Amino acid sequence: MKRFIFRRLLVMGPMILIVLTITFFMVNLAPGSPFSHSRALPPEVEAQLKAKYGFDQPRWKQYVRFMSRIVGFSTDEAGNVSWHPYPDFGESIKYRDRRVNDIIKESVPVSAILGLTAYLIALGVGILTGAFAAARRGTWADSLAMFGSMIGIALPSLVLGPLLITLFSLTWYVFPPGGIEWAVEWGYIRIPTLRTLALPALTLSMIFIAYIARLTRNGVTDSLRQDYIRTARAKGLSERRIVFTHALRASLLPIVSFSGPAIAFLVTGTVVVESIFSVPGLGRYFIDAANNRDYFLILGITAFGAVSLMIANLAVDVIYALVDPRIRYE
Amino acid sequence: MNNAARVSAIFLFLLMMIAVFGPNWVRRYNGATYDAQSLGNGLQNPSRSHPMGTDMLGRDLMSRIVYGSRISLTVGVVSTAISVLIGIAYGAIAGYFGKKVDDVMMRIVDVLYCLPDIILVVILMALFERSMLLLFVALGAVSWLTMARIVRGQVLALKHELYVEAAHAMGAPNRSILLRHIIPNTMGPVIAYATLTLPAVILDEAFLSFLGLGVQPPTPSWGVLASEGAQAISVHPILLIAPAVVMALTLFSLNYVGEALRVRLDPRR
Repeated sequence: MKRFIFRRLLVMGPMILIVLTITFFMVNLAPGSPFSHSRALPPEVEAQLKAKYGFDQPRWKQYVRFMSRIVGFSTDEAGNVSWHPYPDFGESIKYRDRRVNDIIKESVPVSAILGLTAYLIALGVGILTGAFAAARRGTWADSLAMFGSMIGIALPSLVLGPLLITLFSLTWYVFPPGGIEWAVEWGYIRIPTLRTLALPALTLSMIFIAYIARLTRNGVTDSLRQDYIRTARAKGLSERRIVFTHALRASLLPIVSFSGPAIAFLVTGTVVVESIFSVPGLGRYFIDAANNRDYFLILGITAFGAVSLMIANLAVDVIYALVDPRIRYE
Repeated sequence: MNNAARVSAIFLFLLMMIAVFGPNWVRRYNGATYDAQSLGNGLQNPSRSHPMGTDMLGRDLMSRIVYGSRISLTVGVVSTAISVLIGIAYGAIAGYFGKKVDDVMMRIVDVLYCLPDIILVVILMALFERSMLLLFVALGAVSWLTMARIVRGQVLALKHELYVEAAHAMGAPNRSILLRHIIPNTMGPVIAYATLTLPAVILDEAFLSFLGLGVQPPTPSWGVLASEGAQAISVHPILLIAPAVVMALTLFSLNYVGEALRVRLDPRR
């Protein structure tokens, strides 16, 4: 098991480099430049800016410079090379004088807290709804719960978000329509207040509630047909106990494999919800960076997204092996 | 097939008719086109001549939704078709030739699974000149992975069937065995999964257009309409609600039909 994890972590490095190489050339081959605004810059200013970010160099030199910074080598103004054990994505182009690393460090906690809150809501509500529907399978309560989850799937956040704002901020003044207030500010770690987090988290969680409820219902319904459930029934256990402890446990595996990529997706910042509610998270910065051709910020956020997805996938495999003793990795 | 799926299929058929012929019908009804502005008649409530009212620029909402359905469905169908073609070709080759080829090709799929696909689509759409063609390709190119896995699994199972052996014995070349004997027999799961890919792609298009990275205004799509509606929601909610209902019903129906097909065409039954 340890060797399996180690090997997977080892493969991750080259894979990130491949992802970054593809993205680097995609970004570089695209027409236009970060300095082409509607108002043209004086040529000497543009030349200086280009020199500052190294865009005056041939492409392969830019690539080498970028990659060596990724693996931890940085060069200061005097030309001295130093090494540090973390990647350096360089300076943002749009946010002058801010380093990409700082932007990521500052916005990841925001996205992560929003994403994890949404995920926890989804997990709780989803499993309860699903197990409830399975316990009452075939009745109107089951149909209603599953119909509700279909609505969750068919009502994307770009519709749900504005609707919730209309209801809870413009009709009844319960929650603010957007923006984040901080309850705790502790260096890079900033925790938003529950009041400002409620609507975006709810919007974000809806589709995941729907998926988790469906997965749970199907899983529990399947395991209720198994022999050990018949044994439990024969022992005279209550129906609630059978559904919630015996059948539910066996149907958690699909939820685990669904959760990995879902959490990675949520933590990386969900562009739409963050723009609807003006949450200063990774997703907002990413759209901004893409629209402004902020090359280094694009690359930094892409790398972060890829790493979180890979770690999430690895975590799923590990949890699978822990939960299900039949699975062995050699 | 259950009743929900049957109703959904009828709805999808009607929607398709509306997407194809609807813009003409609306024009014949009230003379409106999706981009004809009438600035004095903005934000009108539903009336006889504008059954769904008008938007901020006085454009007939019904005409925009009908035309937007055409655009969104086109993006969905074409991108899904691209992903299906790539998926079938890739999966069939990997499964049929097996061994080393299969190993390498499937490892590549594993690697691609680790790429955050929506990030790549956003980068493509933001950096290159936005066009429908790029949208088709970008969405199709990120959604073929699961299809490739499904087809490969099918092909692995099919290639030891007797009729394939018979074709081999008669000296048929690989290409014609694949195209004539194996791929047609994978169609069940492929169609079922494609029906489930379609709503996902439609949703992706809506997200991109909502962010201004997909279909470009004044051309409407469900995402464009939702984004315009969201801006006006406090003054004129029907602008968001009407396109949202159409989109929700479509996603709803596609999911029901897809589920039903998946169960019906499941080769293990």
